[in-house]
Amino acid sequence: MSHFTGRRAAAKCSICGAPAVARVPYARLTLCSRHFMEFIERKVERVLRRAGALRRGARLLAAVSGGKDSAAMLTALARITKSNGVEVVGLHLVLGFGPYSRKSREAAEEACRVNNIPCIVLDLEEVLGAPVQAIARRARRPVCSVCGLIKRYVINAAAVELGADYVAMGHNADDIIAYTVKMFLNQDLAAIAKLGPSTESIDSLAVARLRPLYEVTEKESLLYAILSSTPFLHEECPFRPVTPIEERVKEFMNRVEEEHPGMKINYIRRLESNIELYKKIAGIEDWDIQQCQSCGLLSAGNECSFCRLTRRTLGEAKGAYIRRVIRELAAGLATRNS
Amino acid sequence: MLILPEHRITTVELETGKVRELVHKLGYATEGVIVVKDGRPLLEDEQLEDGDNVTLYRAASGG
Ligand SMILES: [Zn+2]
Ligand SMILES: [Zn+2]
Repeated sequence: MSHFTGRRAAAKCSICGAPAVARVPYARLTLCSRHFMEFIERKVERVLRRAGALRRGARLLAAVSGGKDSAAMLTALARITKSNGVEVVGLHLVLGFGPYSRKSREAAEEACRVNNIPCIVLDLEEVLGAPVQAIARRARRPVCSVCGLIKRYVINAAAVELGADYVAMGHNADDIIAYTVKMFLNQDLAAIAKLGPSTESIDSLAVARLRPLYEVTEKESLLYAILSSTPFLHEECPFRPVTPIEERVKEFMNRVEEEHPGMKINYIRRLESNIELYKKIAGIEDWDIQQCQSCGLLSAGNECSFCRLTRRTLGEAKGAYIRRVIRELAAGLATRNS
Repeated sequence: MLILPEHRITTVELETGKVRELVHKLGYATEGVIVVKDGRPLLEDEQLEDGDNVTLYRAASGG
């Protein structure tokens, strides 16, 4: 750095005049810590309200990885639901990826604890009888795709067993943009239909998904986690591919956003209003909803992809067993609460 | 300065000394990172001083 140029007066919050910690160029706002947090919580609240989740007695299962997004989501959910009589329960899945998973678990449990949210922890290696990466190896598939399939199945199964009305996932706006741009690049337009801010429940087969951070950018999510002092692990999963396409899309979008503020939020809002259009393209009304013959949950065929995967790699379909384990965990949680 | 999540430590020479310049010199967009000094997140147009020790969080990781 060449020379000291003298400190200009620090920027002030556009709302209250307190020292600012964030600029939100697309909204032409400069915000202090408190007003930034309120700004994010309003976005989260909007998603919940539109999905009809802000009603007394509703039960929300929050998937908590231990990373920044789930940390931000938990704290925002805890603050918003406090006055609405909505119950939030956390679920953390232990992936068994060495020190990364141990630290993730600690962060997830801490994030729940500081928010007074009960946390259910499920060790996947323990319940499946084999580590996720071994299952992937046997299936001859990338760890990320098998891990994703297993997590999606277990989270939905847990939500069904816990009688949750919604599953809250920590995908932020940049994630949604990256997934949908990748889908567009692959011309898999039907897949985009599933990436709205919420999906509907299918009675006793699948629980509705909520994406509370749908309109919250990755940077905002990280800043919210830092400002709210929610514990989180800022580390890369050891099995993440070197440069996933999603990361390239994010880098590109961030450069565009810096030059043209508002691109990302406009994309997300238009995507949200176009979801019905993508559902038509996907012909979602004609999808035949089936029940897995092994586990009884949602399936695209006779047997769901999770039961098929575990049958092929572990010798037996594990869906029904997983459901039983979670039911017992849930019973333990209920007695502890009463 | 420290770059997270990879825990890379480096030193950067700046001309204007703005946070934005630091972020760009490291090859990032300001939209993708947060720069923190003494626990306080900095704005892109804030002025850094000689010898400032800051931490840069890459947002696009560790979801
Ligand atoms: Zn303020
Ligand atoms: Zn099944």
